[in-house]
Amino acid sequence: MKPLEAQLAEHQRTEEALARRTAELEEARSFLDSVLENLPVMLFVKDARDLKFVRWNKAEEEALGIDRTAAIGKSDYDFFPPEQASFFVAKDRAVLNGGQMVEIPEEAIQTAHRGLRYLHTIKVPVFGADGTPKYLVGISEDITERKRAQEELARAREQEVEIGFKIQQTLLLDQPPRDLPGVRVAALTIPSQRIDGDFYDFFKHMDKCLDVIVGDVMGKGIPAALLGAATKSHFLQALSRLISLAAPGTLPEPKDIVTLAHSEVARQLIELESFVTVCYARFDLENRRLDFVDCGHTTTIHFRARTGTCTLLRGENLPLGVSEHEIHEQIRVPLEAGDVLLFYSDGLTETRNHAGELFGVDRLAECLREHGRLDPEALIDHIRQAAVAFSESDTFGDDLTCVAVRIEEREIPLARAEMEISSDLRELARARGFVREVCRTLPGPPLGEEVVNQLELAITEAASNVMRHAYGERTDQLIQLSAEAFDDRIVLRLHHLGETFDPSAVKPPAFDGSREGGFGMYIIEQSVDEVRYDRDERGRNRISLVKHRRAG
Amino acid sequence: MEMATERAGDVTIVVLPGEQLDASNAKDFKRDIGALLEPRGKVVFDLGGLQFIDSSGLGAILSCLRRLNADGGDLKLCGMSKSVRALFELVRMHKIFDIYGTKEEAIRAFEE
Repeated sequence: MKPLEAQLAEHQRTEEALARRTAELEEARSFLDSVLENLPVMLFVKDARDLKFVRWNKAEEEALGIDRTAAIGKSDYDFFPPEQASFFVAKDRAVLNGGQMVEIPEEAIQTAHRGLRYLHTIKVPVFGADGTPKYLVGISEDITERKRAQEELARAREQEVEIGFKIQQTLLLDQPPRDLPGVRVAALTIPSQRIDGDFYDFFKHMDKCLDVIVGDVMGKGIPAALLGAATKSHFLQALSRLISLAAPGTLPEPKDIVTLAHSEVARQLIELESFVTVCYARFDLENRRLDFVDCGHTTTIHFRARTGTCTLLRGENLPLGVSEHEIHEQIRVPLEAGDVLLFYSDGLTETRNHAGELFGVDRLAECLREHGRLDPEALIDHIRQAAVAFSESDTFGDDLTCVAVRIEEREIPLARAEMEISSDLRELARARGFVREVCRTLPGPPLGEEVVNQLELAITEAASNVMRHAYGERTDQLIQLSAEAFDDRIVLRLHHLGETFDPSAVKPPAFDGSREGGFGMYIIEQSVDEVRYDRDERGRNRISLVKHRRAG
Repeated sequence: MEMATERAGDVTIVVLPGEQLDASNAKDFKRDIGALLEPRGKVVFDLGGLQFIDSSGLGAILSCLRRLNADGGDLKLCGMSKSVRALFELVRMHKIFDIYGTKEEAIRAFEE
């Protein structure tokens, strides 16, 4: 037994050590407290038994607008909407039951002062000495702004695709001409997710020549699309300037048009570090030949109907924008009826299959050899199908454009007549009279009464649509009617300057008698064999009604 | 437009005027026929004089049928030329209308 003094002294030391230890602990605790408190991330701790908050730091207070005094001792249900609270609690249970950290990439939370916010949260279980979870610690980061920025970005991207698509449809791609005697043209475009600067354009020179321009701007997106549109308009300007300088009845040569257009765009393209590949092709339909300026564009394929073979046409010129001064060389190729010229963008030949192989010019030429005798529309559809089958996808990384031009036997109508009427419904009877008279004086075997009636009906419905809808019931406008008779068909046309008609916007008729209107379009389609809506060489809207003449 | 009518019992027969009923006069027709379409009216349109009809003309006749049917009346058609009949068949309105060869047949159909 130690003496009492010794015992007292020892006790004293123990007391002192304990006080020191307590002070140390207190200091560590307050240090930890202050760290947790001042962490720039939201932090809370819940009791594992009842999921009530035991800790709630400053960042949490600020972010959610809920004071710690209001939070501690409460559960999620006390201040969040029930569906949010249930979500939080379900995650808490998963953490505690699994004994593992759970990451919640995004959760919505209703704040008291800043509306709905989005959090990225990590929840961790904290175990007691007995190995069971005692606490649940949650750390969150407010990702609302980041999420908004991402959404903005996605919207902007979507909008860019949308704008690009509109530019493409309105500025870059033209409707191929129809009704040009001696030639048939079809074009295909499959837009990709990001627009390319592919463009094409058609210029008709009376019924004698057709100029086809196809081009491709280096690069993608709206800049490429705008460059494409600008290049296209420079070609149009160059063409009209040279036409105004040319001797009456002559046309400027393609090479001169390309050289002039190039001199206008070359500097800009060089400054923008871009270039444009172009093919300018003129089909001389009277002399059956192709005059052709190729500036680094994809090889044009010439299908020869007589031999059933394909020839590749390629010029030596550089793309526009590579060098400022360039003399353009022109190639002349004789054509025969049935020949097809195929122009396309590299999006088509550079389509890849799963093995990484390119579709290539050879496959395309093969497709042309096989289907070159079909109508260009059908041919182009086969090409599309071949590209889709090859890539095993109907969406492409690049825009896919393709133009097919077929030389036809040149047809001269057996008879032709014209008449002008005003846009007054009372003129409908005159329009019918015109058709009846044309049919009566037709060369060859007379048309049956039923056929004449159908043509009268078709012209009445078409003209009345133009008067009522295209001209909005104005009675002082003009409609030109023309009729052409061929061996195998009669073509009636209405030319007008009213609003362009969109046949796809017309509702199908109600055959149950529930609607009094809406039969006109259907009647037209049923009365003739073909109905086409396009523009004539003067830019007027043109409706063509084609009726086949059947033998016997 | 002037519309000649006759009565046969409680049936009103309207002779459609003019040789054509198209977009140029369909509106006038609709306006002027109104007075002849009484509730529960039994009406026959005699299309005998009509050489041409278009979708507007057909729409006008269809509106007469709908009006009469709505008020407990009915409309029957007769005397169609081949070309007029062809349009009715084209838009399947021959299934909606009761069509008879002659006026007498149409009147008799009302009596049955």
